[in-house]
Amino acid sequence: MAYQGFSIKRWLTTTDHKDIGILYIVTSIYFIIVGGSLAELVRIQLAVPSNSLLVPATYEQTVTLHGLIMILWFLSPLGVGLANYFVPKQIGAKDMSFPRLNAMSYWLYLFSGVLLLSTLFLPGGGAGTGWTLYAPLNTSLYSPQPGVTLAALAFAMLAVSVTISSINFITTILRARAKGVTWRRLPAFTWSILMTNILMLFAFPPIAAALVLLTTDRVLGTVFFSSFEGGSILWAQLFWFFGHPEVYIVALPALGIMAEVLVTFAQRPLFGKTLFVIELSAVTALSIGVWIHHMFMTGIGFDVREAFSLTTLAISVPFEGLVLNLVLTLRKGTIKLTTPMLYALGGIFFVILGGITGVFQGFIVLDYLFHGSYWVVGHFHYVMVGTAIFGLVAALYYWFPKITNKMYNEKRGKILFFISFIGFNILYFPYFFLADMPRRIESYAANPQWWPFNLTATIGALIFGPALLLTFANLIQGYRKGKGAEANPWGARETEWTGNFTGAAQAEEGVAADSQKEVSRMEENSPVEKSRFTYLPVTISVGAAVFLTGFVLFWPVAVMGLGVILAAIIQWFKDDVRDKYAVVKEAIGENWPFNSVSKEKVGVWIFLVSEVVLFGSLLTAYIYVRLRSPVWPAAAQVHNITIGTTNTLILLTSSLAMILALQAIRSGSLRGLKSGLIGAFTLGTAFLAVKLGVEWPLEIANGFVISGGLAPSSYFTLMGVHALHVGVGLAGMTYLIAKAFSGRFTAQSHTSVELLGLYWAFVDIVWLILFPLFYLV
Amino acid sequence: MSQQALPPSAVDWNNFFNLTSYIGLIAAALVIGLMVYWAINNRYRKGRPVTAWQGLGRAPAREAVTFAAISTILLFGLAVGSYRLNTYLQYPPPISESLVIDVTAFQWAFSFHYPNNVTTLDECRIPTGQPIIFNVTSSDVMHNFGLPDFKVKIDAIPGRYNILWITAPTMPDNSTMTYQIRCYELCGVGHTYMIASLIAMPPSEFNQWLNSQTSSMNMTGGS
Repeated sequence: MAYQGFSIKRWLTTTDHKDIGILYIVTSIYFIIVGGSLAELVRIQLAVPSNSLLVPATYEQTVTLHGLIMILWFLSPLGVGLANYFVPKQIGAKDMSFPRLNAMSYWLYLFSGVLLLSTLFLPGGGAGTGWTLYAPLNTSLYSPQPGVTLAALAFAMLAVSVTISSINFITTILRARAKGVTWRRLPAFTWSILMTNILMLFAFPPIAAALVLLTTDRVLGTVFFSSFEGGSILWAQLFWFFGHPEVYIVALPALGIMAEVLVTFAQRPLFGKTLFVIELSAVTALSIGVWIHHMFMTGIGFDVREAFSLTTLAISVPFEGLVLNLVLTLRKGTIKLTTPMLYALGGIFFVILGGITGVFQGFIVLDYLFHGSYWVVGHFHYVMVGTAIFGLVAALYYWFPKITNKMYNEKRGKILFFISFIGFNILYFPYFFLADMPRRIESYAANPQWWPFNLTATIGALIFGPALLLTFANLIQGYRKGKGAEANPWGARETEWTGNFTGAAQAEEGVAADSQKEVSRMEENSPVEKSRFTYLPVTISVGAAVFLTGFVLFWPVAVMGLGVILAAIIQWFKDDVRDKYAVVKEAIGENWPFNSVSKEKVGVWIFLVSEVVLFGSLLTAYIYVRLRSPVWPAAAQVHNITIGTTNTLILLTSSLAMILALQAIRSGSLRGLKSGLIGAFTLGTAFLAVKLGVEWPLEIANGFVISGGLAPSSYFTLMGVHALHVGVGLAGMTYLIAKAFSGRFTAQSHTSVELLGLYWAFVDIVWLILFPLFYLV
Repeated sequence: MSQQALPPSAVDWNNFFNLTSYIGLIAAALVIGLMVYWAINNRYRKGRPVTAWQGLGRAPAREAVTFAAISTILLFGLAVGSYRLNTYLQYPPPISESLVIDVTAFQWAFSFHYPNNVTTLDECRIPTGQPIIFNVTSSDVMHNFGLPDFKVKIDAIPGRYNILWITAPTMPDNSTMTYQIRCYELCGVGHTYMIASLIAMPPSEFNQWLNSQTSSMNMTGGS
C-alpha cells in the first residue's frame, strides 16, 4: 500500500501479489504499444493497393509479431495482472498461494517477451510464418533463420510462465478463500479467472509439446513437421487445440470484468448469477472441443468437420446466455454512465457482433469463402480487440481508484471512449466487406476494388490507435495529478471494495465490523516484510533467457545460462532449508472440498494435470504419425528389450524405495527416510545411466539416429522429455536427502517428501505407458 | 457478373449467407437495442429511486431454458441447411462426367495438370457447364487453392490430395470469363503474388485449346 518512493530493488524482488499485478499490467501495456505500432505499420502499408513501406519479408514478420504479441504478451497477461491484484482481494486471501512462483511467472513472461522482440534483430529476422506458425513453413528448410527457433522457444518459455501462474491461481481460489467466500458468493470476476486458468492448464501444455517437437525438428533434425505423416495436419491439430481455448482465455476475464462493472454501475445484482456461472463453465468445457473449426479447409474427414461444426454452434448457446445475463442486469437498474461503464457497454456491443459473426464461420459452407480472408480478421478483432481490450480498459478505469487511491479525469475518459468506439468500428467494420481478400498480403494491386474498404480501415486505425494511447496517457495523468479518491468511490458492493466477505445481510447487522477490522489489519501487515523479497525468480528467468538464446546462437552461452539457473535453484532450496523466506499463512476460511489437503498438495496435483496433458499431447503426436506411416521399424529390431525391461524394473524399484521412505517418515523414522531416499536416488540415477550411457549409444551405433525418420524422431524426443523429468526428480531427491541429513523431517512435517513421492510416481507411470508403446508394439 | 452467370456454388452460398445474416442481424439489433434502450432510459437522474438490491431471489431458469431452446432451434435449423450444402460440395459428380485437373501449389505458383498430360502454369482453362474436379496438393509448404468468385477454397497440403469441385456457368453470350485463383494461406514472402487465373470458356473452344496444347506438346516431344 503506502510504499514511499521508488526502489528498483523492491520491484525486482517483490513477491507481493499487488506489486506483481502492477508489473504485469505495466508490462502488458508496453507490449500493446509495441504490437499496436506494428498494426499501424500494417494498416499504413495497406492504405493503398501497392505500397513500398514494408518489403514482403518485413511485412510477414510484422504481422506475425503483431499477432503473437497482442494475443500472448498483451491480452492474456493484462488479464493475469488484474487477476493478480484483485482475485486475492476479492476472495480475502493475503496473497497468492505461492508468492515466489507468482513472481517467477511474471519474470518468465517479461523475459520471454524480450526474447521474442530480440528475434527481429537476428540475422534473417524473426518468424514470418504468421502467429499460427504453420508447418512446414516453420521448419528450417523453409524458414532457416535462427529467429524462428528463438521465437518458438520464447513462446515455450511463456507457456511455462502461464502454466505456473495457472497452478497458482487455481490453488489460491480453491484453498485461500476467507471465511464467508463460499462458492456461491465467489465474485463473477474470480469465477471468470478460475475458468480462464483451468483453460490455460489444458491449452498451454499442447502448444508446449508442439514447440518442443518444432525445436527438435529445427535443431536436432527430427522430422515431425517436415514429413508428410506429421506435417501440416499434426501441427494444426496441436496448435488449434491450444489456439481455440486461447480465444476464450482472452475473452472470459473481459466478461468477468463487464459483470463487475455492470453490477456496480447499474446498482443491481448480476442477473442470474448462478446461471452465469453455469454458462461460464459450459463455455469453458465446450471450448476444448471446437478446435477443428479452424481446419475446415484442410480436407480432413467430412463427419469430423460436421461434428465440430455442431460443437461450435453449441458453444454459442451458453455464450449468448452470458451476454444476455449482462444485458438483462441493466433492465431494472439505475445506470451511471461512467467511463468504465461506457467501456463495458462498448465491450458488450462488440462481443455481440463478434459472437454472431463467429457463428457464421461455424457453418462449414460459409467458411468455404471466409476461411483465410479479412472477414475472419474482422470477426476475431471484434472479439479480441473489441471485447477484450474494451473490457480490460473498463477494468483499468474501474479499479484505478483502488490501485492508485486517486481519480482519473472522467471527462477525458468519456471523450476518449467515444473516439475509440467510433474509430474501432471505422477500422474493423469494413473487413466484413472483404470476405474475398486473403489475410497477410502486403499489396492488392490486382484487386483495386478492395481499396476503399482498406483506406477506410486505415483511417479508423489512425483514430483508434492514438485514442488508445491517449487513454493510457489519461490513466498516467490521473496517477500523477489526479485528485485523491475515496476508498469506495463507486459505492460498489463487491468484496474487493468493501472488505466484507460474509455477505451484505450481515453487514447491516453490524457483524461485518469484525471482518472489516480483520481486513484493515491485513492491509497494515501487507507492506512486504524483508523476508518476502527474493532475487531468485528474476535470476532464474534471466538465466532461462540466456540459456535459450545460447541454445539457438552459441552453445557456451547456454551453459552459462544453465549455470545461473542451477545456482539460483540451489539457493532457493537453501533458503527453504533455513526458512529464510516468510511463507504466507493461509487464512482459515472456505476451502471446500479441499479442507484436509494442503495447498502444496493441491498445487502439485494441478501441476500433474498439466504434465498429463503435456505427455498426452506428445504421445498423441507419436501415435498419430505412427498410424499414418506406411512402414515402421519393428520394435525388436531397433530396441534391446532386455535392457528396456531391466530399466523398467530399476525405475519401479526406485518408486518402491520412495514409498518406503515416505512410510518411514510417517512413522517418524528419519533413518528409514534417509535410506529410502538414497535407494530411490541411486536407482533413478542407474535408470538414467543405463538409458543415456548404454542403450542410446547401442541404438545409435546400429544406425537408429534421431534424424533418421519418424521412428527415431519420436523415440528419442519422448524418451528425452521423460529422461528430463527423471533428472528433475533426482534433483528434488538431492534436496530431500540434504534436508533429511540436517534432520528437518518429522512424522508431522514432511510435506515435500510426499510431494516428490507424487511426482516420482507420475514419472514412473509415464514410463509404464512409454515402455510398451515403444518396446513392445 | 449478372445473376444468371453466377456459379451454382456461389448461388447456394449467397442464399445461405443471406438467411444467416437476416437471423443474425435481427438477433444483434434486438440485444443491442435493448442494451442501449435500458442504458439510456434507466440512467441515473436526481430523484430516481434505486431498485432494491434484494430483488432477484429466483434463478431465471425458465427464461434461460426458453432462450436456449429458441437459439438451439434456430442454430440447428441452419446447421441442417449447412450440412446439405456441405454434402453437395463434398461429393463431386462421377468422374466420367467431369474433367479432373491435378493442381500442385508451390512457392509461389499453381501448376495444372490435365488428364491428357498437358501441364500449364498459373493459368487454368476449363470448359463451362461441365463439372471440374480439382485434385489439390502442394509440393513444399501449406498453401490454399481459393476461387473467391465460386465462394470455395481448399488447403493445398504437402503429402495430401484434397478434392474441390466446381461448375463454371455458361455466359449468356457464350463468352470466355476469367476468374481469380488465389492462395489463402501464408506460404512465405511470395504469398501476396500467388495469383493465377481460371479461364472458363465454351466447351468447343476449350477442346480446341486442349488439342492444340496436346499436338504442340507431341511436336516438341514432351511427355
